[in-house]
Amino acid sequence: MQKKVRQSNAGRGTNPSDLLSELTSFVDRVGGLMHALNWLNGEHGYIDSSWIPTIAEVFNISQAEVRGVISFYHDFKLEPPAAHTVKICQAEACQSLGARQLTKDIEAKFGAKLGERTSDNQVELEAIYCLGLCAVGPSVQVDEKLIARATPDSISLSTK
Amino acid sequence: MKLQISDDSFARAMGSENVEFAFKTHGVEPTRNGSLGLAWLEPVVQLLNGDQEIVSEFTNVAVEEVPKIVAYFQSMRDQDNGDTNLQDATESTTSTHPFLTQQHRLVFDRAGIRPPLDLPSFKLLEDLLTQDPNQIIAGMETSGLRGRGGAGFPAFIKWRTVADTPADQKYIVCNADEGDSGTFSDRMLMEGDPFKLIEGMIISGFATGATQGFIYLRSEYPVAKEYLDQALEMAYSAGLLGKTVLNSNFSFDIDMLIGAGAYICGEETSLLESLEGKRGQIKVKPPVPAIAGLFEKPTLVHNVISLASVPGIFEIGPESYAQLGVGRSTGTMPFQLSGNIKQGGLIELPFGPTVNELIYNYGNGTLSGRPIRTVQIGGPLGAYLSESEFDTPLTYEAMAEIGAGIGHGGLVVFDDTVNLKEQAEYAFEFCEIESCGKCTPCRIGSIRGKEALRQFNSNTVDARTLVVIEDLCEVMEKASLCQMGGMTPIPVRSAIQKFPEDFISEQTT
Repeated sequence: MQKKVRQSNAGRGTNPSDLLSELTSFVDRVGGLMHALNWLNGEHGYIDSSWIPTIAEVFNISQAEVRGVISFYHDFKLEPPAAHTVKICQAEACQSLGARQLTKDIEAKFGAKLGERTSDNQVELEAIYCLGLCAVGPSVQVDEKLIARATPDSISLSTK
Repeated sequence: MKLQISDDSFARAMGSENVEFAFKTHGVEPTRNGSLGLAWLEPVVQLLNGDQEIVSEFTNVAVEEVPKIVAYFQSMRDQDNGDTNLQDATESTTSTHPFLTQQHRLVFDRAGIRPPLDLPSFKLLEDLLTQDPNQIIAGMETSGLRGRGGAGFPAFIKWRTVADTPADQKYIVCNADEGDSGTFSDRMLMEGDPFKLIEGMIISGFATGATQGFIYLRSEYPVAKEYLDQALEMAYSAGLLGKTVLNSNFSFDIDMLIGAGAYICGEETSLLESLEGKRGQIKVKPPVPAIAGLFEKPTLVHNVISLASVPGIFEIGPESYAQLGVGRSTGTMPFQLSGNIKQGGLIELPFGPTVNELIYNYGNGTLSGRPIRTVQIGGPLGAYLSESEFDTPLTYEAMAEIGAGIGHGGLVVFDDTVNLKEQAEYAFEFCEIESCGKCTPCRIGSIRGKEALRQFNSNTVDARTLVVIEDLCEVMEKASLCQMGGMTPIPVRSAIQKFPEDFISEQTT
């Protein structure tokens, strides 16, 4: 139960046998499936449908159960992500500082709607509900980078 | 002399990483500290003398200012021969700022003052581990601590229930799924003083007989994860966690699970399902988690601030703790001031300040400079207050009297450009997005409510639609198992009742 799982980037896990050995390390941990899905999603940016039979086998549950867990959580994706993700906070504290207008401006800047991606697959705009930066909103997250007091100009993809 | 830079999510979002990098390129390696919670002044750079006293401070530091600060730092360092009476030294503006000096910090006493990963003294914990666990629970009862996550349930009842329920395994679960907009105290504590949380979890484990703890942290808080990962590793190395906690006979472990972007997992039964690796769907209570929680074992579920309040209670003594606050709202509460506010951040005070005091005395009015129209208290399921309610004291009781709740202590300020119909619509929309889907009124009612409010292209809704919405609210409130559906009517109704002018136009009335 207290078994520590390595958090390295080792193993790309796309090959079923590699995937099997990587996932096995999560099985005995409490919340193992969540740890495993978080790890896959973090490593690859998504969870490929072709991995689901292996995941189900490792955790000894049905494929439907695995899909059920994946579909419940906003973070888990079944499609590869765009090169960059711009998450725009849509919650109240940011609304009070113009997040609705900011969202429109960012949509215009990149030419994609919230929840969609640009045709060249470079940028995906995503809604997020609170980054905990509510005192210095509106807040945006570009890939890993947090941005307070965000304006359309302060959103650049080179900040990675 | 050393140069210190604030490092937490606020500071990073305000540009501290670039500033830190600029210092490094100028040959100065800054040390990192947490944030004091004066968010609008981030990032903060401090120059400390050999006695760790702040001799100079710079706020809102931009990369362009770095060369100037480096030159200043070097000249100060050259002058400094243990002599703290330096020329040109400016006082610290944050530590003497009324925003901070008027506070009463018990949970956040170390955050932003001593670096988050400096191992603090565990004398108190050592002492508590020699006491009778029942005495500790009695102390919790005396303190009057009520859960800080939102429900305000007396903590000791849960502690006693877990302690009194026979089982071969009991658990402590820290709910760090702080998803309410306008709240960030859990995040700040985990980033600014992670050992306070760890200590609180160990004390609660010892008192209730639980030997395994879990922290369920939301994925939107990667900086908190960074700090907790390091703090947990240090705690194991220091013998604070593991088979013999501080060389006692008590064994306690903590593992951490990162969530995956589901707001509903802040609800305790949903959180426990997710912690078991399942869909975060809520469960019927009873049985309460204190009797049958994680894997059907007795489980103490508390939010971060509840657990982090525990060391402070025994530090000053449960009786003294109970003296703080008003009536049955005892102790201190880390309020969080946010939204359209000039001076937003963390304000820890004994219960009882009025909304006015926080938004004007501490917050100094709106960032936009326009008048304040409403304040939403207690997150997305909290009430919108009208100006006439701003003189209400922030206690559980006084808030309940006006149909509001303190929730997790967040206050979101809106200026007079806010449209409450839009906000009511958003309340339904948020419920639609985040509903776990178990209860029909929440799953379907939220969509129907949003549609009803949106069905007119104009900015107006007719009186009949409002009757439909009130019906929906009643069904959601009475027939949802948890507070997601049950409390969504609170922001909706408060918006309609207190700001009717935003809902009914002159033509339709």
